[in-house]
Amino acid sequence: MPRLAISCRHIVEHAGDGVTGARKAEAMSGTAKVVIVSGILCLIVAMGIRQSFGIFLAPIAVDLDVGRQVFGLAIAWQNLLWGLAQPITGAIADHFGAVRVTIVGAALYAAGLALAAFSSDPLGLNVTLGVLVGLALAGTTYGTVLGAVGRVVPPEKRSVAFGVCTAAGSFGMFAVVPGAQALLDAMSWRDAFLVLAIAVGLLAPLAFGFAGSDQLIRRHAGGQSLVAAIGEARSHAGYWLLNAGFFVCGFHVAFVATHLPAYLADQGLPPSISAWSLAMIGLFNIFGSYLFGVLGGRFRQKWVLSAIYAARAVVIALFIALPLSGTTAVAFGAAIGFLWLGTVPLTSGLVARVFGVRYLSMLYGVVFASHQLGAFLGAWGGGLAYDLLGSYDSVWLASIGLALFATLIHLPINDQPLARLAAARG
Amino acid sequence: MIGARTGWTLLAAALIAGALAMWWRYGEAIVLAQPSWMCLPR
Repeated sequence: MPRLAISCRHIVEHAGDGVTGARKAEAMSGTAKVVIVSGILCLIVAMGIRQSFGIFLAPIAVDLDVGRQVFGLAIAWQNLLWGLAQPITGAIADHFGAVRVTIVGAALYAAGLALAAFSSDPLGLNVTLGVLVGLALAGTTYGTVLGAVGRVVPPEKRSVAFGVCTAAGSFGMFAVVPGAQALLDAMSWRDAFLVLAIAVGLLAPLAFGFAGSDQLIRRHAGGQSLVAAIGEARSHAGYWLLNAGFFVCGFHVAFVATHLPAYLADQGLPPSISAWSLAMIGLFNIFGSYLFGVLGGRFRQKWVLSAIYAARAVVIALFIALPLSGTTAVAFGAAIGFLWLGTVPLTSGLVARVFGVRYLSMLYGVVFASHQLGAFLGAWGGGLAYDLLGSYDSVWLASIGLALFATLIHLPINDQPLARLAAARG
Repeated sequence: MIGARTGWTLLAAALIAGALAMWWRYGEAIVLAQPSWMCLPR
Protein backbone atom coordinates (compact mmCIF):
# COMPACT_ATOMS: atom_id res chain seq x y z
CA MET A 1 0.00 0.00 0.00
CA PRO A 2 2.07 2.95 -1.20
CA ARG A 3 -0.22 5.53 0.40
CA LEU A 4 0.13 3.99 3.82
CA ALA A 5 3.84 3.43 3.47
CA ILE A 6 4.58 7.00 2.52
CA SER A 7 2.41 8.37 5.27
CA CYS A 8 4.16 6.19 7.80
CA ARG A 9 7.31 8.01 6.95
CA HIS A 10 5.81 11.13 8.45
CA ILE A 11 4.78 9.54 11.71
CA VAL A 12 8.38 8.57 12.44
CA GLU A 13 9.60 11.85 11.00
CA HIS A 14 11.40 10.59 7.92
CA ALA A 15 12.51 7.32 9.40
CA GLY A 16 13.91 6.43 6.04
CA ASP A 17 11.60 3.73 4.72
CA GLY A 18 12.86 4.39 1.25
CA VAL A 19 9.62 5.68 -0.18
CA THR A 20 10.22 8.27 -2.80
CA GLY A 21 8.83 9.31 -6.15
CA ALA A 22 6.28 11.69 -7.52
CA ARG A 23 3.54 9.09 -7.94
CA LYS A 24 3.73 8.00 -4.32
CA ALA A 25 4.01 11.57 -3.12
CA GLU A 26 0.79 12.24 -5.00
CA ALA A 27 -0.89 9.38 -3.15
CA MET A 28 0.24 10.82 0.17
CA SER A 29 -1.11 14.16 -0.87
CA GLY A 30 -4.51 12.63 -1.55
CA THR A 31 -4.75 11.15 1.94
CA ALA A 32 -3.56 14.38 3.47
CA LYS A 33 -6.13 16.39 1.52
CA VAL A 34 -8.99 14.19 2.70
CA VAL A 35 -7.84 14.49 6.32
CA ILE A 36 -7.36 18.27 6.03
CA VAL A 37 -10.75 18.87 4.40
CA SER A 38 -12.44 16.74 7.06
CA GLY A 39 -10.59 18.71 9.73
CA ILE A 40 -11.60 22.01 8.18
CA LEU A 41 -15.29 21.10 8.12
CA CYS A 42 -15.15 19.64 11.63
CA LEU A 43 -13.61 22.79 13.05
CA ILE A 44 -16.03 25.12 11.26
CA VAL A 45 -19.01 23.29 12.75
CA ALA A 46 -17.65 22.48 16.21
CA MET A 47 -16.00 25.85 16.90
CA GLY A 48 -18.76 27.85 15.25
CA ILE A 49 -21.53 26.36 17.35
CA ARG A 50 -19.45 26.63 20.49
CA GLN A 51 -18.86 30.32 19.88
CA SER A 52 -22.57 31.02 19.53
CA PHE A 53 -23.65 29.93 23.02
CA GLY A 54 -23.42 33.44 24.45
CA ILE A 55 -26.42 34.70 22.52
CA PHE A 56 -28.63 32.09 24.23
CA LEU A 57 -28.10 33.70 27.63
CA ALA A 58 -30.95 36.16 27.57
CA PRO A 59 -33.70 33.92 26.15
CA ILE A 60 -32.79 31.03 28.45
CA ALA A 61 -32.56 33.25 31.52
CA VAL A 62 -35.98 34.71 30.77
CA ASP A 63 -37.66 31.43 29.79
CA LEU A 64 -36.38 29.40 32.75
CA ASP A 65 -36.60 32.34 35.12
CA VAL A 66 -33.04 31.85 36.35
CA GLY A 67 -30.26 34.34 36.94
CA ARG A 68 -27.66 34.95 34.28
CA GLN A 69 -25.05 33.37 36.49
CA VAL A 70 -26.75 29.99 35.99
CA PHE A 71 -26.06 30.04 32.28
CA GLY A 72 -22.67 31.63 32.89
CA LEU A 73 -21.73 28.80 35.23
CA ALA A 74 -22.72 26.18 32.64
CA ILE A 75 -20.51 27.86 30.04
CA ALA A 76 -17.68 28.21 32.55
CA TRP A 77 -17.92 24.45 33.24
CA GLN A 78 -17.90 23.82 29.52
CA ASN A 79 -14.68 25.77 28.95
CA LEU A 80 -12.93 24.32 31.96
CA LEU A 81 -13.88 20.74 31.14
CA TRP A 82 -12.91 21.25 27.52
CA GLY A 83 -9.41 22.21 28.64
CA LEU A 84 -9.03 19.60 31.36
CA ALA A 85 -10.37 16.78 29.17
CA GLN A 86 -8.25 17.70 26.14
CA PRO A 87 -5.09 15.83 27.24
CA ILE A 88 -7.17 12.74 27.99
CA THR A 89 -9.15 12.77 24.76
CA GLY A 90 -5.90 13.57 22.98
CA ALA A 91 -4.29 10.49 24.49
CA ILE A 92 -7.30 8.40 23.48
CA ALA A 93 -7.13 9.81 19.94
CA ASP A 94 -3.42 9.07 19.78
CA HIS A 95 -4.13 5.48 20.79
CA PHE A 96 -7.48 4.61 19.21
CA GLY A 97 -7.57 7.16 16.41
CA ALA A 98 -9.32 10.39 15.59
CA VAL A 99 -12.29 8.69 13.88
CA ARG A 100 -13.65 7.12 17.05
CA VAL A 101 -12.91 10.11 19.25
CA THR A 102 -14.63 12.49 16.83
CA ILE A 103 -17.69 10.25 16.50
CA VAL A 104 -18.05 9.96 20.27
CA GLY A 105 -17.46 13.71 20.55
CA ALA A 106 -20.12 14.42 17.94
CA ALA A 107 -22.57 12.15 19.76
CA LEU A 108 -21.90 13.94 23.06
CA TYR A 109 -22.17 17.33 21.35
CA ALA A 110 -25.50 16.47 19.71
CA ALA A 111 -26.81 14.91 22.93
CA GLY A 112 -25.74 17.95 24.94
CA LEU A 113 -27.53 20.35 22.62
CA ALA A 114 -30.64 18.20 22.20
CA LEU A 115 -31.00 17.56 25.93
CA ALA A 116 -30.36 21.24 26.66
CA ALA A 117 -33.38 21.98 24.50
CA PHE A 118 -35.47 20.04 27.03
CA SER A 119 -33.77 21.39 30.17
CA SER A 120 -35.93 23.18 32.64
CA ASP A 121 -33.55 23.85 35.54
CA PRO A 122 -29.96 24.90 36.31
CA LEU A 123 -28.81 21.31 36.85
CA GLY A 124 -29.98 20.36 33.38
CA LEU A 125 -28.08 23.25 31.80
CA ASN A 126 -24.92 22.43 33.73
CA VAL A 127 -24.99 18.76 32.75
CA THR A 128 -25.86 19.35 29.08
CA LEU A 129 -24.17 22.57 27.99
CA GLY A 130 -21.52 22.31 30.69
CA VAL A 131 -20.41 18.69 31.01
CA LEU A 132 -21.58 17.02 27.78
CA VAL A 133 -20.65 19.84 25.41
CA GLY A 134 -17.40 20.53 27.29
CA LEU A 135 -16.29 16.92 26.83
CA ALA A 136 -17.55 16.96 23.25
CA LEU A 137 -15.42 19.96 22.38
CA ALA A 138 -12.33 18.13 23.59
CA GLY A 139 -13.10 15.37 21.09
CA THR A 140 -14.10 17.43 18.07
CA THR A 141 -11.79 20.44 17.93
CA TYR A 142 -8.13 21.37 17.58
CA GLY A 143 -6.51 18.68 19.71
CA THR A 144 -8.03 15.82 17.77
CA VAL A 145 -7.99 17.47 14.35
CA LEU A 146 -4.43 18.79 14.44
CA GLY A 147 -3.18 15.41 15.67
CA ALA A 148 -4.85 13.68 12.73
CA VAL A 149 -3.57 16.25 10.24
CA GLY A 150 -0.06 16.25 11.69
CA ARG A 151 0.31 12.53 11.10
CA VAL A 152 -0.33 12.70 7.36
CA VAL A 153 1.30 15.98 6.40
CA PRO A 154 5.04 16.21 5.70
CA PRO A 155 6.93 18.16 8.39
CA GLU A 156 7.77 20.99 5.99
CA LYS A 157 4.08 21.56 5.23
CA ARG A 158 2.76 21.00 8.72
CA SER A 159 2.66 24.60 9.89
CA VAL A 160 0.74 25.70 6.79
CA ALA A 161 -1.72 22.81 7.19
CA PHE A 162 -2.25 23.70 10.84
CA GLY A 163 -2.75 27.32 9.79
CA VAL A 164 -5.41 26.34 7.26
CA CYS A 165 -7.27 24.23 9.84
CA THR A 166 -7.03 26.96 12.49
CA ALA A 167 -8.31 29.51 9.98
CA ALA A 168 -11.27 27.22 9.32
CA GLY A 169 -12.10 27.14 13.02
CA SER A 170 -11.73 30.90 13.06
CA PHE A 171 -14.12 31.18 10.13
CA GLY A 172 -16.65 29.03 11.99
CA MET A 173 -16.39 31.29 15.04
CA PHE A 174 -16.93 34.29 12.78
CA ALA A 175 -19.74 32.96 10.60
CA VAL A 176 -21.86 30.76 12.82
CA VAL A 177 -22.62 33.32 15.55
CA PRO A 178 -24.78 35.60 13.37
CA GLY A 179 -26.31 32.48 11.83
CA ALA A 180 -27.33 31.30 15.28
CA GLN A 181 -28.72 34.76 16.00
CA ALA A 182 -30.81 34.46 12.83
CA LEU A 183 -32.08 31.12 14.14
CA LEU A 184 -33.04 32.74 17.42
CA ASP A 185 -34.91 35.43 15.53
CA ALA A 186 -36.88 32.77 13.69
CA MET A 187 -37.59 30.24 16.44
CA SER A 188 -37.42 29.54 20.16
CA TRP A 189 -34.09 28.85 21.83
CA ARG A 190 -35.15 25.24 22.33
CA ASP A 191 -35.81 24.73 18.62
CA ALA A 192 -32.58 26.54 17.77
CA PHE A 193 -30.65 24.09 19.98
CA LEU A 194 -32.32 21.18 18.18
CA VAL A 195 -31.28 22.61 14.81
CA LEU A 196 -27.71 23.00 16.07
CA ALA A 197 -27.81 19.43 17.41
CA ILE A 198 -28.68 18.18 13.93
CA ALA A 199 -25.91 20.31 12.42
CA VAL A 200 -23.38 18.93 14.85
CA GLY A 201 -24.47 15.42 13.90
CA LEU A 202 -22.75 16.10 10.55
CA LEU A 203 -19.46 15.71 12.37
CA ALA A 204 -20.00 11.95 12.69
CA PRO A 205 -19.73 11.13 8.94
CA LEU A 206 -16.96 13.72 8.61
CA ALA A 207 -14.96 11.78 11.18
CA PHE A 208 -14.37 8.97 8.69
CA GLY A 209 -12.20 11.39 6.74
CA PHE A 210 -9.58 10.84 9.45
CA ALA A 211 -9.34 7.12 8.68
CA GLY A 212 -6.20 7.55 6.59
CA SER A 213 -4.49 9.14 9.58
CA ASP A 214 -5.69 6.49 12.02
CA GLN A 215 -4.21 3.72 9.89
CA LEU A 216 -0.79 5.07 10.77
CA ILE A 217 -1.42 4.70 14.48
CA ARG A 218 -2.23 1.02 14.10
CA ARG A 219 0.75 0.57 11.84
CA HIS A 220 3.07 2.01 14.45
CA ALA A 221 1.63 0.40 17.55
CA GLY A 222 4.36 -0.68 19.93
CA GLY A 223 6.62 2.35 19.50
CA GLN A 224 7.18 4.88 22.25
CA SER A 225 4.73 4.49 25.12
CA LEU A 226 2.35 7.17 26.29
CA VAL A 227 4.03 7.33 29.68
CA ALA A 228 7.43 7.70 28.06
CA ALA A 229 6.11 10.51 25.88
CA ILE A 230 4.77 12.34 28.92
CA GLY A 231 8.06 11.89 30.75
CA GLU A 232 9.98 13.14 27.75
CA ALA A 233 7.87 16.29 27.52
CA ARG A 234 8.03 16.91 31.26
CA SER A 235 11.81 16.92 31.19
CA HIS A 236 11.94 19.41 28.32
CA ALA A 237 12.12 23.00 29.56
CA GLY A 238 10.74 24.29 26.27
CA TYR A 239 7.53 22.36 26.79
CA TRP A 240 6.90 24.17 30.08
CA LEU A 241 7.63 27.50 28.43
CA LEU A 242 5.14 26.70 25.68
CA ASN A 243 2.56 25.92 28.36
CA ALA A 244 3.23 29.26 30.01
CA GLY A 245 3.01 31.10 26.70
CA PHE A 246 -0.28 29.50 25.75
CA PHE A 247 -1.65 30.35 29.20
CA VAL A 248 -1.04 34.00 28.32
CA CYS A 249 -2.76 33.54 24.97
CA GLY A 250 -5.83 32.16 26.73
CA PHE A 251 -5.84 35.04 29.18
CA HIS A 252 -5.72 37.61 26.39
CA VAL A 253 -8.41 36.19 24.14
CA ALA A 254 -10.83 35.41 26.96
CA PHE A 255 -10.42 38.79 28.60
CA VAL A 256 -10.84 40.74 25.37
CA ALA A 257 -13.70 38.61 24.01
CA THR A 258 -15.54 38.62 27.31
CA HIS A 259 -15.10 42.18 28.44
CA LEU A 260 -14.48 44.30 25.35
CA PRO A 261 -18.20 45.00 24.72
CA ALA A 262 -18.67 45.97 28.36
CA TYR A 263 -15.53 48.12 28.27
CA LEU A 264 -16.71 49.95 25.16
CA ALA A 265 -20.16 50.43 26.66
CA ASP A 266 -18.61 51.86 29.82
CA GLN A 267 -16.79 54.37 27.63
CA GLY A 268 -20.06 55.45 26.09
CA LEU A 269 -19.75 53.73 22.72
CA PRO A 270 -22.91 52.22 21.21
CA PRO A 271 -23.51 48.45 20.79
CA SER A 272 -23.00 48.76 17.03
CA ILE A 273 -19.35 49.65 17.66
CA SER A 274 -18.96 46.63 19.93
CA ALA A 275 -20.55 44.49 17.25
CA TRP A 276 -18.13 45.69 14.58
CA SER A 277 -15.18 45.35 16.92
CA LEU A 278 -16.15 41.71 17.56
CA ALA A 279 -16.80 41.16 13.86
CA MET A 280 -13.35 42.52 13.04
CA ILE A 281 -11.78 40.22 15.63
CA GLY A 282 -13.50 37.30 13.91
CA LEU A 283 -12.68 38.45 10.40
CA PHE A 284 -9.01 39.23 10.94
CA ASN A 285 -8.57 36.12 13.06
CA ILE A 286 -9.18 34.11 9.88
CA PHE A 287 -6.38 35.90 8.04
CA GLY A 288 -4.01 35.82 11.00
CA SER A 289 -4.56 32.12 11.70
CA TYR A 290 -3.63 31.28 8.13
CA LEU A 291 -0.81 33.77 7.70
CA PHE A 292 1.00 32.85 10.91
CA GLY A 293 0.72 29.19 9.94
CA VAL A 294 2.45 30.06 6.66
CA LEU A 295 5.10 32.11 8.47
CA GLY A 296 5.69 29.19 10.84
CA GLY A 297 6.67 27.13 7.82
CA ARG A 298 9.23 29.71 6.71
CA PHE A 299 10.69 30.99 9.96
CA ARG A 300 11.43 29.43 13.32
CA GLN A 301 8.08 29.11 15.03
CA LYS A 302 9.33 30.38 18.36
CA TRP A 303 10.45 33.65 16.75
CA VAL A 304 7.04 34.12 15.16
CA LEU A 305 5.33 33.35 18.46
CA SER A 306 7.49 35.93 20.22
CA ALA A 307 6.61 38.45 17.53
CA ILE A 308 2.87 37.80 17.99
CA TYR A 309 3.02 38.40 21.73
CA ALA A 310 5.19 41.49 21.28
CA ALA A 311 2.68 42.83 18.75
CA ARG A 312 -0.15 42.14 21.20
CA ALA A 313 1.66 44.24 23.82
CA VAL A 314 2.00 47.11 21.34
CA VAL A 315 -1.61 46.87 20.12
CA ILE A 316 -3.07 46.82 23.63
CA ALA A 317 -0.80 49.67 24.75
CA LEU A 318 -1.88 51.79 21.79
CA PHE A 319 -5.52 50.97 22.42
CA ILE A 320 -5.49 52.20 26.00
CA ALA A 321 -3.11 55.11 25.30
CA LEU A 322 -4.95 56.62 22.33
CA PRO A 323 -8.21 58.51 22.75
CA LEU A 324 -11.04 55.99 22.40
CA SER A 325 -13.43 56.36 19.48
CA GLY A 326 -15.47 54.12 17.26
CA THR A 327 -12.61 54.06 14.78
CA THR A 328 -9.96 53.07 17.31
CA ALA A 329 -12.25 50.42 18.79
CA VAL A 330 -12.88 48.79 15.43
CA ALA A 331 -9.21 49.13 14.48
CA PHE A 332 -8.27 47.47 17.78
CA GLY A 333 -10.65 44.62 16.95
CA ALA A 334 -8.96 44.15 13.58
CA ALA A 335 -5.44 44.31 15.02
CA ILE A 336 -5.98 42.04 18.01
CA GLY A 337 -8.07 39.71 15.83
CA PHE A 338 -5.16 39.37 13.44
CA LEU A 339 -3.04 38.21 16.40
CA TRP A 340 -5.83 36.07 17.91
CA LEU A 341 -5.34 32.38 17.08
CA GLY A 342 -2.17 32.61 15.00
CA THR A 343 -0.61 31.11 18.10
CA VAL A 344 -2.41 27.79 17.52
CA PRO A 345 -0.60 26.54 14.38
CA LEU A 346 2.69 27.83 15.79
CA THR A 347 2.35 26.30 19.24
CA SER A 348 1.01 22.97 17.96
CA GLY A 349 3.62 23.04 15.20
CA LEU A 350 6.39 23.57 17.71
CA VAL A 351 5.16 20.66 19.83
CA ALA A 352 5.11 18.46 16.72
CA ARG A 353 8.54 19.65 15.62
CA VAL A 354 10.22 18.92 18.95
CA PHE A 355 8.38 15.77 20.04
CA GLY A 356 7.04 14.31 16.80
CA VAL A 357 3.44 13.60 15.89
CA ARG A 358 2.90 10.20 17.51
CA TYR A 359 1.41 11.76 20.65
CA LEU A 360 0.67 15.20 19.27
CA SER A 361 -3.00 15.23 20.30
CA MET A 362 -2.12 14.43 23.90
CA LEU A 363 0.91 16.73 24.16
CA TYR A 364 -0.92 19.61 22.50
CA GLY A 365 -3.89 18.80 24.73
CA VAL A 366 -1.80 19.52 27.82
CA VAL A 367 -0.70 22.86 26.37
CA PHE A 368 -4.30 23.62 25.47
CA ALA A 369 -5.33 22.90 29.07
CA SER A 370 -2.95 25.70 30.09
CA HIS A 371 -4.66 27.92 27.52
CA GLN A 372 -8.04 27.22 29.06
CA LEU A 373 -6.80 27.92 32.56
CA GLY A 374 -5.50 31.24 31.31
CA ALA A 375 -8.83 31.85 29.61
CA PHE A 376 -10.67 31.14 32.85
CA LEU A 377 -8.47 33.64 34.66
CA GLY A 378 -8.86 36.23 31.90
CA ALA A 379 -12.64 36.01 31.79
CA TRP A 380 -13.25 35.70 35.52
CA GLY A 381 -10.31 37.79 36.73
CA GLY A 382 -11.27 40.60 34.36
CA GLY A 383 -14.72 40.78 35.91
CA LEU A 384 -13.35 40.47 39.43
CA ALA A 385 -10.84 43.27 38.88
CA TYR A 386 -13.59 45.47 37.49
CA ASP A 387 -15.82 44.81 40.48
CA LEU A 388 -12.99 45.50 42.94
CA LEU A 389 -11.36 48.47 41.24
CA GLY A 390 -14.18 49.94 39.19
CA SER A 391 -12.33 49.84 35.90
CA TYR A 392 -10.51 47.54 33.51
CA ASP A 393 -7.30 49.62 33.55
CA SER A 394 -5.35 47.20 35.74
CA VAL A 395 -6.32 44.23 33.56
CA TRP A 396 -5.24 46.01 30.39
CA LEU A 397 -1.89 46.73 32.05
CA ALA A 398 -1.63 43.12 33.21
CA SER A 399 -2.35 42.03 29.64
CA ILE A 400 0.57 44.12 28.39
CA GLY A 401 2.85 42.71 31.08
CA LEU A 402 1.82 39.14 30.27
CA ALA A 403 2.36 39.77 26.55
CA LEU A 404 5.90 40.96 27.23
CA PHE A 405 6.46 37.96 29.49
CA ALA A 406 5.27 35.61 26.73
CA THR A 407 7.46 37.42 24.20
CA LEU A 408 10.54 36.71 26.28
CA ILE A 409 9.85 33.15 27.37
CA HIS A 410 9.58 31.82 23.82
CA LEU A 411 13.06 33.02 22.94
CA PRO A 412 15.08 30.42 24.91
CA ILE A 413 12.97 27.44 23.83
CA ASN A 414 15.14 24.69 22.36
CA ASP A 415 13.14 23.97 19.22
CA GLN A 416 15.38 21.30 17.79
CA PRO A 417 13.75 17.87 17.29
CA LEU A 418 14.64 15.41 20.01
CA ALA A 419 17.57 13.09 19.44
CA ARG A 420 15.11 10.20 19.14
CA LEU A 421 13.54 11.82 16.07
CA ALA A 422 16.86 12.83 14.59
CA ALA A 423 18.08 9.24 14.92
CA ALA A 424 14.92 7.95 13.25
CA ARG A 425 15.60 10.23 10.33
CA GLY A 426 19.01 8.67 10.00
CA MET B 1 -11.29 28.44 -16.78
CA ILE B 2 -10.18 29.27 -13.26
CA GLY B 3 -7.55 27.28 -11.41
CA ALA B 4 -8.14 25.40 -8.18
CA ARG B 5 -6.31 28.00 -6.13
CA THR B 6 -8.36 30.84 -7.58
CA GLY B 7 -11.54 28.82 -7.10
CA TRP B 8 -10.82 28.17 -3.43
CA THR B 9 -9.90 31.82 -2.93
CA LEU B 10 -13.16 32.96 -4.53
CA LEU B 11 -15.15 30.49 -2.43
CA ALA B 12 -13.45 31.72 0.76
CA ALA B 13 -14.06 35.35 -0.23
CA ALA B 14 -17.75 34.63 -0.92
CA LEU B 15 -18.18 32.84 2.42
CA ILE B 16 -16.47 35.65 4.30
CA ALA B 17 -18.55 38.27 2.49
CA GLY B 18 -21.70 36.34 3.39
CA ALA B 19 -20.66 36.15 7.02
CA LEU B 20 -19.89 39.88 7.06
CA ALA B 21 -23.37 40.56 5.71
CA MET B 22 -24.78 38.46 8.54
CA TRP B 23 -22.77 40.48 11.04
CA TRP B 24 -24.15 43.66 9.46
CA ARG B 25 -27.66 42.31 9.97
CA TYR B 26 -27.32 40.67 13.39
CA GLY B 27 -24.19 42.19 14.97
CA GLU B 28 -25.97 44.61 17.26
CA ALA B 29 -28.47 41.99 18.38
CA ILE B 30 -25.57 39.69 19.22
CA VAL B 31 -23.91 42.27 21.45
CA LEU B 32 -27.17 43.24 23.12
CA ALA B 33 -27.97 39.57 23.75
CA GLN B 34 -24.89 39.08 25.85
CA PRO B 35 -23.82 41.85 28.21
CA SER B 36 -20.53 40.07 28.38
CA TRP B 37 -19.46 37.70 25.66
CA MET B 38 -19.05 34.67 27.85
CA CYS B 39 -22.10 35.44 29.91
CA LEU B 40 -20.36 35.95 33.20
CA PRO B 41 -22.35 38.02 35.67
CA ARG B 42 -21.28 41.62 36.02
